Amino acid sequence: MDEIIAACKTGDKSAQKQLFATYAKGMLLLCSRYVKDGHHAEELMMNGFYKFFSTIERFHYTGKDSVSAWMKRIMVNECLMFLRERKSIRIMAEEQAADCVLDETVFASISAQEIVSLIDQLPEGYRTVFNLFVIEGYSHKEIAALLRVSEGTSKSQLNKAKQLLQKVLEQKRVGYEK
Amino acid sequence: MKNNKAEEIIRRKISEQESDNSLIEDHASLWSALSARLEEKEVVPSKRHYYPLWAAASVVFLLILGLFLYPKHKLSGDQQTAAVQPAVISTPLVSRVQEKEKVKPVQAQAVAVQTHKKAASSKRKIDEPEKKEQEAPSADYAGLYSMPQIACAEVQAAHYPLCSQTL
Repeated sequence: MDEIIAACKTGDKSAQKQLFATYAKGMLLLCSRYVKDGHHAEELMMNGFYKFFSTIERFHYTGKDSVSAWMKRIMVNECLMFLRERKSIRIMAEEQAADCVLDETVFASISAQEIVSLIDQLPEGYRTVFNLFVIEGYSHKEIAALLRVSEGTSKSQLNKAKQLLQKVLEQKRVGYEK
Repeated sequence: MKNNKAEEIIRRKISEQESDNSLIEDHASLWSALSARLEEKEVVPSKRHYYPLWAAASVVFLLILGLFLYPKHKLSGDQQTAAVQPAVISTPLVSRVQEKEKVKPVQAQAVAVQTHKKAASSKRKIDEPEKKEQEAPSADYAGLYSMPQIACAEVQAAHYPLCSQTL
């Protein structure tokens, strides 16, 4: 991978193509978690790759994971910028929600695709905070800075997202039992 | 702790799904579009390349502007007064100065302004003791400066009879 990155830095087309082939699918799935519309997600993924190749000179390779981490960061920023421009993230300062505990046995038994479809049902604000905190591993402080909200708001959005997820899971379970 | 476990499961499953290295649908068309964008970027220089050009153009513009404005700033105080207050001095006085001194109209006006200034300052000096006695200037005195064209002729006649005669 180190050689591919070094070649990409010199503008080698075949190296760029190889990198795109390796990461495009995963990055498209990531963008789809933030932006439901498939065409927009694809456009954001393309913009992300364009930025990645344009700024690759600044990237320092420290292992295979560093490539995907750098790329994911660019993609997440692209998605957040898109959501901000469209003003689709409406995060209101709400009352602090009680801590919610997600049922691990349920999540262990369902597939990644099912988890993604569950997250998709969340409202935009809850979904964005949930994605950033639970999946991307950002801290509440980082989320607050990215979404321009307070840390408390970020925490309450996450707890509400979890409550909603739990509710949807319970409804599904009742449906299966019936 | 239980909560973190559920989050850990979600994170792991989704990360595994997104680590899928198989080819994306429409890979060829998407790559050709991206490749074309990247090539376009290489051909067209970025905006940053234009910054020195803009800076140079701005400097040239400022220099030209400076050249146009320079002569006005270099005028002497009297010439500036003449340029700024052309209507203060009466035209006959200026034409007389022009005839006498055989100079250009602007210079003649400058001479006339100088004469006017001298006359006004000497008048002020003469009037100063009176001013100390009076709390407010008389209506005639105030009017003298509100009507500069008349004031000039009057002051000249009063204090420079010879000068006004020659002019």
